Amino acid sequence: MNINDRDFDATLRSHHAQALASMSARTQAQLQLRRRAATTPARHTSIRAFAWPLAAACAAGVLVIGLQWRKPDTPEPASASSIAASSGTVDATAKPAEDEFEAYTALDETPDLYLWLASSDANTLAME
Amino acid sequence: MKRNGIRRSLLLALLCAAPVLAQQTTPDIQPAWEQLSTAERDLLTAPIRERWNSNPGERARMLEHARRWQAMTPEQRMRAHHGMKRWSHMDPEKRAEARALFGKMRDMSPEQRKALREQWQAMTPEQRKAWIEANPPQPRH
Repeated sequence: MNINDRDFDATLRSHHAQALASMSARTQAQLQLRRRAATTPARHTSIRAFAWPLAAACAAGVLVIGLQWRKPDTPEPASASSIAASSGTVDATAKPAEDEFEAYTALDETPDLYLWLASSDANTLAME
Repeated sequence: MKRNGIRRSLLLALLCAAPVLAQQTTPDIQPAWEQLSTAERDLLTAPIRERWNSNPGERARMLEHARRWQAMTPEQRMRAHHGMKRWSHMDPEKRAEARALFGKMRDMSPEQRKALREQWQAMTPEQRKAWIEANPPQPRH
């Protein structure tokens, strides 16, 4: 290495040192992280070790969501009378005790009376 | 690599099985009416059958009411169902009042109904009783 080469090398090193000194702390931190990731391949293994439990947890989450979606569609077990009453008459989702009553009363009165009882007229007259 | 393959397969199987598992863990869903056996249908219609057989004089009325239920829109049926719940909480005296008021109001104009509502609200219990006696509920049909 002659003198010119030595000067050239010193000049470049000086420029490099100045460039490093003027770099922001954030950029330096990012470079450090990337350098560490590139020089430690074992980290990949540990990340992968976390990936599978994470994926399994996601799968469990999907299962739970699936269960939750199914629940609202599931009708309550229908009693004999509720199904009998619902064959063209009343709501099949009613409670069994009420179903028993409805099965016997749905055909007792004209359905228009029941309809009227749900009207604003009946509300105003406090029919209870 | 082999272990990873097994893990992937298990995970995939779990994901695919989720809907099936979800379905299997829900309570039994009863089949549609058409899928029921004759014995099951007989069991389910027993209350109506008993009602029908024990009240020969009311069969025509029951049939007419069933036809009316059938003719109602789903929305009307839902409201009538609410009215029926209200009916279940009413004592015999209130039911007599309801029958009388309903019978009277069903043929009234909106103005007449409004007038009766106001008149009713202004009445004392004794006056209401007298009104019911003067306007007895129409025979059930």
